[in-house]
Amino acid sequence: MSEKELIKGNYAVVEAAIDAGCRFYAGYPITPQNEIPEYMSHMMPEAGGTFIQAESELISINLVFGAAAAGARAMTTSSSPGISLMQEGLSYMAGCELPAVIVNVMRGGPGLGNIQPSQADYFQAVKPGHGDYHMITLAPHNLNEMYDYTFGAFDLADRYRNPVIILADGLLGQLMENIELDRTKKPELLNAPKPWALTGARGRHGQRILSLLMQPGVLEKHNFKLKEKWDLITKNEQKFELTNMDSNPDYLIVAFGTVARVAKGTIQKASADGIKVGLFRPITLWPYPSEALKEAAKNVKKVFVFEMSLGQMVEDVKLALGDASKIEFYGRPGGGVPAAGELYEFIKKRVK
Amino acid sequence: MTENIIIAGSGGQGVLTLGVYLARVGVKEGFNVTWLPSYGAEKRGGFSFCNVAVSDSEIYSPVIEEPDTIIVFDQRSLNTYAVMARKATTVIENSSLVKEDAAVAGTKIRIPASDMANDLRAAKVANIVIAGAYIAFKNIFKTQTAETVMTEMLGSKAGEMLEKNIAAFAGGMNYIKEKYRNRI
Repeated sequence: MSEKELIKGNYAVVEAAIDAGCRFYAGYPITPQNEIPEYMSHMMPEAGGTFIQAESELISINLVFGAAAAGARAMTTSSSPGISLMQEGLSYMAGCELPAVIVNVMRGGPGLGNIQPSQADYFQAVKPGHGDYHMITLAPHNLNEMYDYTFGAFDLADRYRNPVIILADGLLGQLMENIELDRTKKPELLNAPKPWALTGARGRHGQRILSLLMQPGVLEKHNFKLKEKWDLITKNEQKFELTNMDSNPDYLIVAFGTVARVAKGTIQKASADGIKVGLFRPITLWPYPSEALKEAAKNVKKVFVFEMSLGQMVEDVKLALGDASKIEFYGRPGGGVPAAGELYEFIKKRVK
Repeated sequence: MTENIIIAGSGGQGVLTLGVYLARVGVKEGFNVTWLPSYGAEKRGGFSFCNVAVSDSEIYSPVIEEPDTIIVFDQRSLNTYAVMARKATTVIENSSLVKEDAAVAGTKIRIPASDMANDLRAAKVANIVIAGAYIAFKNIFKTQTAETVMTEMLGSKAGEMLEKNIAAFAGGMNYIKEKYRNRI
């Protein structure tokens, strides 16, 4: 049965991880995600799992690396500067084909920045660190999705043996909202065998998990093998949400996460003035739902891209549409959260 | 029905707790609710505020642009947020600390919540005095729901603290019923 609860976004992440069978967490404090390790430090031992407050984000991701290699459902969480420190480990895990869930509750940057909400780690998530690799990136826009996407991320990670990023922001982390938790849902792959895991070699030959493949040609072959996986994920996992598209809108907003939710208010304001605006909300930021976006933008006069950054996702929108002439961008960097009316003012000045 | 509330004051005055309390009352009555705190480097005496949105439909932006109610615990908060008041806004002032009875847009309620809490020898229930006043004046939530949630939130701290909270809540309600009886 589902139950209606008033819950904080950061706590919803913890509930989801525990329900999904995650039994290893390592993290290091950083605002605005501190409630995750705080709550996890109670919940994880209660669930019989391991909670480690690491001495840095570098250690967090490498602890997760080790736990994942041993077959555990493992997770770490942080906020922007901390995720930067994890990039090396994430590349290693993608190279080694290890599943893990990473939550980034984004804050303002660059540098240490501030602790206000931001979406300026879009590039860092979807066009990440060194080497040819990708991470499935999911962008929740309410607290039900903070729970659902985190819960589902563990199965996705196991299915493709790859790190999965939940790209949230400080607003979603700090917000409280009533959500309906479906506690009857069971993770699909929790008990699926992991024959590749390092579980001790008693009774079998030893196996190794390596990201260093020095022999000429071996790494190239490995990359082509990974490419097949990226293609499969791109084919199977694209997700998006359409709002107000039945009205045959003249204008389209493209936004993810918090901004998408604010944009729904903008659509309502525009609609009251007789201006028809639709919303395309990518849920997977990688793989980006490019074809679906192209379809949604086919008949509109303008495409408004709104982000809490100086313009990162807008590059993928341009790639998807292949034509930037219809695109208008508005962004708030460094911790600014746009208001519905503010976005509407931007639209109003550009529509006839 | 949509009710957008901004609550502002100083750290330690129970600003965020009042927000959580009203949010929980809203959830209990079946509404959709969001509660968004400020989360800067606050400390006691620092600036503290939160946005609470209550609606029978989906809540899009938890950041409130057009408040229906503004609750201010001190002068500084009124000075900051009075500009957001419109004709339809109710402004509830803790008159113990908002000394100037300045004109604001909308309807103004003044209640000496800190003094009333001090009379109960429990300075920290000033926010619950305000809660009682809010619920009596706006008449959106049922009194009984508010009392149930209070008991739930106090949990193991029930006993004397619960009695003081109930007294504070009743004090706030009665104050409105007496002083503003023509307006409710």
